[in-house]
Parts: sequence; C-alpha cells; structure tokens
Amino acid sequence: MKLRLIMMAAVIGIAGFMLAGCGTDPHRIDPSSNQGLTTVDDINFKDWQIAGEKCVKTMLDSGVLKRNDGRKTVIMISTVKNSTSQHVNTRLLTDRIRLAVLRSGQAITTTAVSGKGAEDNASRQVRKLADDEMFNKKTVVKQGTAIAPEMSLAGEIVQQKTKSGRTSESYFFIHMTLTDLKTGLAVWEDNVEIAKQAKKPWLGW
Amino acid sequence: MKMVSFTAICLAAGIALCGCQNTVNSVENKDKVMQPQEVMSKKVSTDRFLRDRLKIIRIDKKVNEAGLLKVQVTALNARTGFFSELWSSLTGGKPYKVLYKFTWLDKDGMVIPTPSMNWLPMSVIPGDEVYFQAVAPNKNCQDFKLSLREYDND
Repeated sequence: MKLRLIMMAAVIGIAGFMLAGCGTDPHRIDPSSNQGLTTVDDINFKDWQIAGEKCVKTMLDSGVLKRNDGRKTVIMISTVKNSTSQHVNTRLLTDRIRLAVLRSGQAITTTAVSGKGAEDNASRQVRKLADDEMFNKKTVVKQGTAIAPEMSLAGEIVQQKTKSGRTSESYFFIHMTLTDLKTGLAVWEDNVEIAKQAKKPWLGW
Repeated sequence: MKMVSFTAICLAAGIALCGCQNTVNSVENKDKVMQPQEVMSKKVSTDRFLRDRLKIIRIDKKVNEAGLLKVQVTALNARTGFFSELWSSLTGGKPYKVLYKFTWLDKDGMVIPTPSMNWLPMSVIPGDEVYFQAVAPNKNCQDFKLSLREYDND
C-alpha cells in the first residue's frame, strides 16, 4: 500500500516536471513582425496595426487635410465609441492616426480639447497663473490665444460574436470619421473589418 | 500490377486534391482607358519559392491631390495548373498568404520613419491579382521599397 502511494506520488511528480518543461521563458517579440498572439475575442496589436495602416492610407490619399491657404488643419481627437464586449483602449488606433497626420505635415492635432475634455490640461492651467503673484505677468500665456480645432476624428468599434459547435467567430467593424466642425459634414470616412475564427479541440480548452 | 494500381491511386488522389483548390477566373475590359505611370523596377529575390508563386507584374505611381506619392505594385499568384495546384494542396498554400512592408526613402536615400513600418498580411487566391498600395507619409518621400515574404509567425 505504502509502495503504491510512493509510486503514484513519483508519477505525479514526473508528470508535473514534464508539464512545467512545456512552457517557454518570457521573451521579447518584435511588434513590427508577425509575432504575437491571435485571439478570437480580442483586437490584438496586429489588428490595430492593420486598421491604423488602412485608415492612414485612405485619409492621406483623400486630400481632405490639404488647405489652399498653406496653413495646417487643426484636428481634435474626439471619442471612439467602444461597442464591443471587451475593454478596448482606442488610443491604440487614434494615436497611430494622429502621428501619421502630424508627420504628413498637412495637419496638426490639439491636446487642449478632446472628446473627453482636455487631453492635456496644461493649456488651461497655465492661463490661471495670471492670478498667481509668483509669476511674471508678462510671461504668462494670455487668454484668447489657443487655436480651436477645425476637424474632429471620431469613430465606433462594433463586435459581433458567432458560435457554431466548436467553432467560434468574432467580427469587428471599425468605423472612423473626420468631421469638418464648421459645417458638421463628414469629409472622410473609412471602415476596417477584422474577422477571426477558432475551433476548439475535442479535448482540452 | 501493384505498381500500376499504386500509380492510379496516386493520380486519383492528386486529382482529388486539386479539386479542393479554388482558383480565380477573371474578366475585364479589353480596351483600357487608364494611362498608368509605370515605374521601372529593380528586384532582389532571396526566396525563389516566393518569387515563383507571387509574380510582380507591374509597378505604377501617381502624385495624389495632397501632393503625396502613391504607389501600386501589382502581383499575380501564379500557382495554377495541375502540378502547382497539387503542390499547393499538399503544402497548404491556399490561399497563399504573404506579408508585405513598404519602406519610404527621401531624395538622399535616407529611410523616413513612419508609424506604419510593419509587416502586414495579405491573402492571394491562385490565379488572382493583388494590389499592394501605399501612400507616402509626407512630401519628402521620393522613392520606395516593397518587401515581401511568406506568411509565418516569426
């Protein structure tokens, strides 16, 4: 009886060691490569890259950012509504677009105003320094100097889940718009579709 | 006799496998209206399999309304025909998946960093043409390079 228990413990121990050996050490991966996890229910970083690339390409190609007076268009980042069942940080998409827009030299983004208040409160805070005796009034930024945005970048991400037997599927639909704030008209729109599918094995998870 | 049977079975299996692969039939207008600006290209192939499967047909460019260079590389998945289809059925290349990346260079040949210098996936059905398109990130971009490789997870 005792021998049997020892044998069982030994087998479990060996199996445990073998299973532990199946894992991999943490390692860095190249974000620009095709490495990285692909999961059905989430938008993975490669998906954000694909979506951002498509949006940037069509926006720059549309020519809507170009102004005839040579001035750069000022864009505010409004809200990208998350209508998925997952927690999604939409900055992963909007930051990619705003960086591309800035580097294009055709437009510039404002941090003084966004869909959820000011992205950087400093613009407002420094103007309050005019009442602070500590500061030289001449060096304090005056009221009425901030430039208001002319366009707004917004969007929505929608997810539809489908399951059939052991196969599950997620369909993400990302819709982005650039609105001319003077007229309220959408001057650019684009959709990105991401569809993923996975089949569960007969055994396991 | 055994040899004949074996050959017949192999042939039947090959035909059956070929039947599993979908290729693309296409139709287009014969008299073209478009007047594309074709770009002379220089190709460097280190992957002969990729070169033979995905043939670069032409490269076109234009300057868009915003003054940015736009390029389009047309490629054809040439994996059609009995043996090609048999081979792609066996190797699982249907549709054939590749990764591509555009690199932009200024007039001095310096790489212009862009937020989108990532390998992006593209699927190509045998017999179909695909278009790799990119818009230059700014007006300083004068030249470009398209890199292609077979899809993998590395």
